[in-house]
Amino acid sequence: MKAFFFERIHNPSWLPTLRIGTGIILLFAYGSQFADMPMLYGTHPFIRPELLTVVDEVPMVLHHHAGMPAVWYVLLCIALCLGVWTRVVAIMLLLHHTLLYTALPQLSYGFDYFCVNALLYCAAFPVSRYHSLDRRLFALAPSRWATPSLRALQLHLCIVYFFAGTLKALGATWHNGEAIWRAYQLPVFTGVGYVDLGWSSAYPLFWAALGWGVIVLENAYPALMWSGRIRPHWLFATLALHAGIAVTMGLYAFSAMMILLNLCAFHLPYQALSKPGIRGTSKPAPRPAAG
Amino acid sequence: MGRIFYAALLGWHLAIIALHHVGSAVVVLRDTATVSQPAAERILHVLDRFRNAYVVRHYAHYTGTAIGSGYFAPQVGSHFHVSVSILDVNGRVQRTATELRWATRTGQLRYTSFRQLFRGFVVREDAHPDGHAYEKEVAKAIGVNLAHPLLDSLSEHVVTHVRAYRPPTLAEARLGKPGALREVYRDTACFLKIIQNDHESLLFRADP
Repeated sequence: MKAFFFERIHNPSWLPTLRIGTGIILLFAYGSQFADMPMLYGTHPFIRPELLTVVDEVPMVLHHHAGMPAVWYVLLCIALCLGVWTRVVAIMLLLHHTLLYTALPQLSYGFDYFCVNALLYCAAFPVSRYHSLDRRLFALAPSRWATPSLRALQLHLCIVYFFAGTLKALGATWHNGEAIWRAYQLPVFTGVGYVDLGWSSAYPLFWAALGWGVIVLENAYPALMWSGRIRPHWLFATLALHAGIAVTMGLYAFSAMMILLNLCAFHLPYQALSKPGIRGTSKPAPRPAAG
Repeated sequence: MGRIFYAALLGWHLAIIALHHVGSAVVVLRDTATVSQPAAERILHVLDRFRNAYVVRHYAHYTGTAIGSGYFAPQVGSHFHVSVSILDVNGRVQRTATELRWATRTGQLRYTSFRQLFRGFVVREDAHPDGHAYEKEVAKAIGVNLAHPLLDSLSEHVVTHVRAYRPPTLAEARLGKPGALREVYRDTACFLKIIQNDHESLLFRADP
């Protein structure tokens, strides 16, 4: 247990990837909704603000017009990517997201919560110790907390996938494929790669197999991702699931965030340490850590 | 010392994540009748005592952990539409507006997420003592927003419709049947034409 949490050496490239990837996805997501911000959170909302339920522990809700101007938000995202005052920047972005997006749960969706998770980890983990301006400016040394941080992210994802799979397994419509068929048919979920699969209703087993595939993939995730042999295949299947969701259902930002978190948790840490450009490991390791 | 502190912090963080996921799982177990209603309520009561504790509530909110993984589980819900018909004094339909116009896909997704609150309308009205007062208020507010740019001096009534769209099942699709669009709520509001200083303005008032 002690070795698992503290002593195993993993490739730390996941730390700067988490920081830079989060910054890029936040920028992309902000740009992708910018034109609708006044109607959602601004001076001319589509619904009177008093009709929105505000999470009661939030001291205030940051309105788009009164709070953070767009330029400021974009600068914070760029600073996160570059790794300048990383912890402070991550905390400011985290506050922005909790006060604007998750404070109004009716207007939020899963992506907003994973953004807050990622920003929390950018603030708490030693993400600025590698490939950052902070490292150069403050001569930061590699951190011995890289592996404990990795375990936190990995265990978090295991909990998320296990419960996501378990809750789907409780629904009969996931067993016969109706749920996944129905999700595919809903008019709002149409991505760039959406194709009309109406003809495939003649093959209900195909949809049932897809439904069971998602249940098994998510439920077995916490068990199989620790096996060095199975991990690459299971990770590939998980990434394919999220890429499929992006392309066919149009949930681009959510899928991008899930792909980033999966790559950071179960792909990059298991890459060989001897790769050029990977600096800042506390100890060289002869081969990638298994398991 | 550092390791002990880390272990305590990690244990706390994962426990908060698990607490909220277990909570959403119990709700699904109750709704799918996998667990008896009283048993589920007892478990939820205990979980809520922890979830509503001041420190837990704040920590969960500011770390984005106050959420379960119940999206699309245990089943995929219907898609809700809000539309309005504007009637003249004789009850004839003048104009209709079907949806709010969103410039971006993310805006539309957030609005879609918001409209899920109308699933309460699908449940029988008498099952809820409040009669879905909040949902009705929201439907009316969106209806007014949709109708406002279309109103003129000939307009008299605004009828707001909330409809639930259910895609065809696999069996229905095989038979070539389309999805079902069912009205789950309708509201009629009329408004006053106020003429002040030769300027005409419109004022909504309560149900006719």
